[in-house]
Amino acid sequence: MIGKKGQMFLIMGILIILFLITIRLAVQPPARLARIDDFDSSNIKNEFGNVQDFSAVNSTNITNNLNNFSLFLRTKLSERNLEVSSFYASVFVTNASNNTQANFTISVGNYLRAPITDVNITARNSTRIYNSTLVSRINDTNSATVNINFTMLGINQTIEVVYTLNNKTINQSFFFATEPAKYTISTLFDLKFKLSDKDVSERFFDTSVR
Amino acid sequence: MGNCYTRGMEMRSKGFSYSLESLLVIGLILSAMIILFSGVSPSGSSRNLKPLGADALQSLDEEGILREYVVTNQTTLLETEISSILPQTIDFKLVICSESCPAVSLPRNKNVIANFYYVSGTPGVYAPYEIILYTWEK
Repeated sequence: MIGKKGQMFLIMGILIILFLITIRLAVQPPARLARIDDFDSSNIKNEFGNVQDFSAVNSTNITNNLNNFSLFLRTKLSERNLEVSSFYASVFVTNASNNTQANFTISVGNYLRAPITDVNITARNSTRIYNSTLVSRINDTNSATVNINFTMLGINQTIEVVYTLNNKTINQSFFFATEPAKYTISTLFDLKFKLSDKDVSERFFDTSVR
Repeated sequence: MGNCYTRGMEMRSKGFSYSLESLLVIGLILSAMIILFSGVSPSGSSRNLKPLGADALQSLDEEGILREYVVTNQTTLLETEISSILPQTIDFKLVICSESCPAVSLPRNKNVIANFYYVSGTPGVYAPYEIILYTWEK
């Protein structure tokens, strides 16, 4: 009996291993989803541009679509434990002929996860400047729109949007070119992705002419 | 006296072999637990699935097929296109989500890689979708 004591250890060990194998086979684990964290923001960046381009095709409400897509992405990325904050400033210009009154419609969308305050907009070209206070506050997941009648001089225009976010003043300005008698839509996008190990920023500009 | 010494040595030797055997068994059990219940880390070949899936989705989007088929709900046609791009050694499942995602059953005991792709619609049609391409080796 004493001589067989060592073998008993081995037999017990084999029985335990057989028991573990039985448990493993009986309780099927969920599908093994291997995690590879190489997030690529280029698809999302292109798609924001597509929202504008595709909406411009049949004059769909671009602001509505940009707002909807910003929320859609926020929801979908949060399901993947990713966080996106986005900001856009869109300008729509009609009747962009030289030395004529053009109607500038400027929309600002805040998806930065905090309110933005003191939103000031400046439209200018080489000689003319138009200043406007859009709104005192735009809450997260909201947008605001202002109309400016602006006398065009040349085709090159600059839009400057200044706002305060978390006590920091941020200046988002962009330069765009209009085409005579065309409907021009230009949008500045500022996206920030918070990943598990790093932050990724994408700041870009898209123009559609119809 | 000599007998006592020999018996003492024998007992010590047996004790040592029992300890060794018990350690061996503990080691075997631990190894079995690690093999049976360890988490998944993608193997080298599974890691290659990620760029393959991403390229398949991107090339179909560049051809204009991806978003067209997704928006018009032609999933089977899209799956045919994907299977013609991916190597034959790779199996896949395509999931198209609007607000919510349909339930999907994935193979067990395989390293499954997920590729995510977003489309906002087609020219003139705003319809956002999330496309998830799950791939694994056959």
